Amino acid sequence: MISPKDLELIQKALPQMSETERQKHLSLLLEYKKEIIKEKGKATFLDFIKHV
Amino acid sequence: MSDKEIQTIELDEDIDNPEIIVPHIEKDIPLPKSQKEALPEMTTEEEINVRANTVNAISEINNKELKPNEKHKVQAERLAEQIIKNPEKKPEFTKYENETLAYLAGIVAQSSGKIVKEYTEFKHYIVNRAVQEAEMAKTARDRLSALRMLGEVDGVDAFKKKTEITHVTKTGKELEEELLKTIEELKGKVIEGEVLKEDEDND
Repeated sequence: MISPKDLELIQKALPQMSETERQKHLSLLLEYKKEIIKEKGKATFLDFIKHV
Repeated sequence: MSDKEIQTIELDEDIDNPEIIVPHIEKDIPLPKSQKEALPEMTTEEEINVRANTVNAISEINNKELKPNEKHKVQAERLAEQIIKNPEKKPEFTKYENETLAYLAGIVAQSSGKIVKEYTEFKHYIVNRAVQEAEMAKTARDRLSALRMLGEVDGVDAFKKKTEITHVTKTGKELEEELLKTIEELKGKVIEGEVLKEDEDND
């Protein structure tokens, strides 16, 4: 699992990316978050996003 | 007495004592108190059309052409604005001259074909006026402004931007790998930045 700190790094870099890159990474992040919810459950995800 | 004479007498009697034909009158229906009350319920647009048709018919009978002057035109335009702003309230048309009413009917017919009761119907008026301005405006700037407005009308969408939506269909592992790749790249850039900063400090 990617650490919250690393995910935060991508989120912070989004505004500097090109439109295509931004769209791509935003979709990847959202999908990744969905995957975590599926795998670990909502409670884990809530703990997880507190740091993001 | 000849047949011709008999016929003549009968006809004369008819003239002296004509039969009165009374149409069937329904009972218990009160007569309208005034001419205004006798008129059926009409929308503002219908009333404008009825008045304009009457005015035109009278002018044709009298062989007198209706020529609205500047004053009539201004009055008609103000009336049209008033009707559009407040469609529920009917203006007192009797106060205006025939030329004003005829010109108003022209504006209504040209502008929308209907004076609106709901704002959604106001779209017809706006689009028609914008087309009019796009054709008639004196400056290119005004014409372009009207065209821009028309281009943004729902259904015309002349300036609609194409939006591409990326649907990600990757497994959790693939997603993680791709994100990690980006993270590595980003970390590389951050380190470069830090190094530069250190160099600057050393200088």
